Amino acid sequence: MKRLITAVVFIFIGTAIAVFGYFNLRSICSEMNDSLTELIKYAESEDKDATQDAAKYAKGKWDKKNSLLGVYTNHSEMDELQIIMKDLNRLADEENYEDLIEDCYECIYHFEHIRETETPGLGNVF
Amino acid sequence: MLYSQKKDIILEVKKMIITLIRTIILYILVICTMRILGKRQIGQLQPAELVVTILLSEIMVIPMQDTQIPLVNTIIPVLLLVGFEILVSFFSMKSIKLRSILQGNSLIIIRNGIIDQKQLKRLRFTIDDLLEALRKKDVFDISEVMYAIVETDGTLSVMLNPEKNYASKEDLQITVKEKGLQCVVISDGRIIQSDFKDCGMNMPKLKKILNQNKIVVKDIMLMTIDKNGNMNVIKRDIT
Repeated sequence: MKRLITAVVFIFIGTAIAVFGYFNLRSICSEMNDSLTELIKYAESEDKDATQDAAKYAKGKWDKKNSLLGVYTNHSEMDELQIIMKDLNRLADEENYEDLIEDCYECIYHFEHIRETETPGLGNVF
Repeated sequence: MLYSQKKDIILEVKKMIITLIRTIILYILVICTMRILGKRQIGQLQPAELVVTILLSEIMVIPMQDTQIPLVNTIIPVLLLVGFEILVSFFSMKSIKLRSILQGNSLIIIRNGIIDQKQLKRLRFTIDDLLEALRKKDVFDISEVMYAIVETDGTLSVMLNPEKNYASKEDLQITVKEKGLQCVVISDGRIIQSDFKDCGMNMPKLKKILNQNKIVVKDIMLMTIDKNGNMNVIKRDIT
């Protein structure tokens, strides 16, 4: 009986980590994409203060969430994101909106990619 | 030293520390997994158990080498595989039908010295495989075999014809005095109390034996004793 309980606990923990990880990852990716879309919007309107605030907000959010995201995501993808996210504040301060928008789109692409690769669809499962 | 070189070294050290921590975590996971899965040796594993064991080792080795892979990608499959393995073994203990589906059945391939070729084909056993397995059981003549059974783990069990079988003490009507289990009571200069019950030993009794023989616990490398009080003492080499 003890072994049976152990087995059920193991399966439950494994499933819980996987399910929690999946939903958590999806929510982090969409939150990051929302804040980056906002940042693109301000950068396109070339509003310096709003862009700087949005860049700070996006970076702050990333700093908070990246360790959790790293638990589930391949670290090489995280490294690429980290490099781009580090640059956002500097580009906003320098008013280099063209590069800033490009970087934001790249980040959005990465987050979308992470979300897609974790989706338990037919293509990913098989 | 250049700043960039220093940074590279720090990065490498960090990577090594990550590998170290990961290895420790995975080592603990391996030990726990093996303890939970049980004490069977590789030769005694059922095919499915062997595959699960290999799978587990494969899963665990990848994140140890590649620090880019999240550890959770290893932990989840390990937990699930161990869980399923225990569940399956639990239910196969309860259900004969499930056991026969999962583990298969043992098959008789030789009856009264005659090979059952149908079963041999079914098992994809060649005649050479069969002869080799028999030789490993010290059987060189098929006609000596009464029954040969291929067990679910692939090993061959052989029952010889009565006239070719070794005579037991019972056949020879020899009575033997039962010695009982030899228990280790002192190992490496330390008293092992866990086996006391099996050989009817207790601390006062042991002290009495030691005093009678004028030996000190720390001078003994190994001391075994059976129920009848027969003991075997190996003293430590004093160098």
